Amino acid sequence: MIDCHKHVVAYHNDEITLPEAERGEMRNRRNANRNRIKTRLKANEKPAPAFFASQGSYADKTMVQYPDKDYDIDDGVYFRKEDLLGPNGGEMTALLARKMVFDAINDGSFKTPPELHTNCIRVLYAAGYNVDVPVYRIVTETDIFGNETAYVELAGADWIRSDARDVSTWFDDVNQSRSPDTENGRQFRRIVRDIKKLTNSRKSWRKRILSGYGVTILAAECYVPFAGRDDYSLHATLRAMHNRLKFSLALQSPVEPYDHVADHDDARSKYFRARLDDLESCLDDIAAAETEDEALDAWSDLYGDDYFSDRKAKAQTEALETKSADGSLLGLGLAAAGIAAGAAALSAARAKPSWEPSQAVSKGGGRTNA
Amino acid sequence: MYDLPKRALGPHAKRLIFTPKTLKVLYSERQLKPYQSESGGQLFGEFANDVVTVTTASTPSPKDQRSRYRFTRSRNTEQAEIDHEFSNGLHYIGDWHTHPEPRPAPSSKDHSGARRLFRTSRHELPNFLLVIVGTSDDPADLYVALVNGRRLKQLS
Repeated sequence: MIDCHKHVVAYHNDEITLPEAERGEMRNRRNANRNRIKTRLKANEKPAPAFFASQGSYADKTMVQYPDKDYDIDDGVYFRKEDLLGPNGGEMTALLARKMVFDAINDGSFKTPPELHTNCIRVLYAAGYNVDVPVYRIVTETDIFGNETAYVELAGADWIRSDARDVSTWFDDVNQSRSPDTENGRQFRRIVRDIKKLTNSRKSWRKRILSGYGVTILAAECYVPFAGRDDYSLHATLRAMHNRLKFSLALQSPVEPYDHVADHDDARSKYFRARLDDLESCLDDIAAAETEDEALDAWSDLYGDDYFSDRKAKAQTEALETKSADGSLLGLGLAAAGIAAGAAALSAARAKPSWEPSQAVSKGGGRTNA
Repeated sequence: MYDLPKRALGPHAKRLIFTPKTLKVLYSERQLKPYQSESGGQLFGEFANDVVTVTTASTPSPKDQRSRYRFTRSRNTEQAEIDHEFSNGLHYIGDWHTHPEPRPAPSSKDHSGARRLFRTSRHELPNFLLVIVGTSDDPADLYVALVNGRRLKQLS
């Protein structure tokens, strides 16, 4: 397989990883929300949270760039069980705990009011993103020897033993134990981001394809590490994921309570498998490419993005400029024009796996059929 | 299944397919009785590899104006349908309507209306589809054409 490591890493760094400015913006929104909860709980004479903890792809640093920037952050609020008392001094129910946090968030300042969901409070922002706030309680128990143990329960329909921080711990463990390197977030994290980007590479896939969490679980199961070759690792991991989905669509959460993320007939897993069926020819092309140019075209086809092909044209121009540094300017111009035309013809001849409009049609003028 | 001319519906589309579900909707609206009004709606589908698949056909809403030889849809309803289907990953591909004749052909109004629609809409498609359903249930009698701002090109 032609070595495209540097191109795959460049795509990851330029087009996939969230720029620091956007991460900072998200951090600000999250912190504003935390402050609102703390201040309003105090004003409502409710218990103070023990701490907050970010979860999900934000915490795992596996968020990927979307053109619409409609990112979702999960930010859990944790209370001590003994602080959560009901109206009669008894244990506060899960519903009351969620309502308490909901009331604290809902200060009337939101254009779209926050929503009370079974597993969280959802704060919706006009820009399209949202912050999900799950509510947890920390339960501390002492055994007969006086040893204290603590666990965490989520306020769902009832109190359920579950802590999304476990997912982050699990992810970090996999990333550290299996990645062959330590730079740039380590390889496993990069491959997960690359695959999440691929699952969102066509707008119409987004709502139907396996969730980011599902993709992460599957990637961990199928990951093929390869030092210094992200292109090889990504290619082999995608192949392995495809084969795994052909064998079974079911996925189980790797942390307590070990929920089924997808069952054996899951529509989202099935949709992902179907898209991998479509992309198989691109993976074949990547493996069979005999030149770097061919390989870059195949990578562009895989992602439905001209990024890789554009790098090819850029590399050609750079090579030409270096070569022609001692040649005539006229020669350089003609040769460059020839290469540009050649690149355009190549690009047109390439069969992309799919093309679709990026925007919904906006219908104009009246029409009557007769 | 219809073979598509080059770049007729996007850079890679070579074939056009109607799902059985879509055909069922189209045929169920045929004007088989003298009192039945013209019917129609929009066509939505997916672009995958080199195939465009029409997966959904919408049907008239109460806001549409219908008579035996005329059918005018509410533009608001149409746009709401397009936005709704787009959020589900389906793209607007064209329109369909019925004619009370076995082997339908577009009227001059169909011609001019379809071309105007293409010109005045904001979209990224090289062509829209225009489908006319007659009284026959033979797929060969379905009128299927590509429409752009200048002309209609029949596929069937």
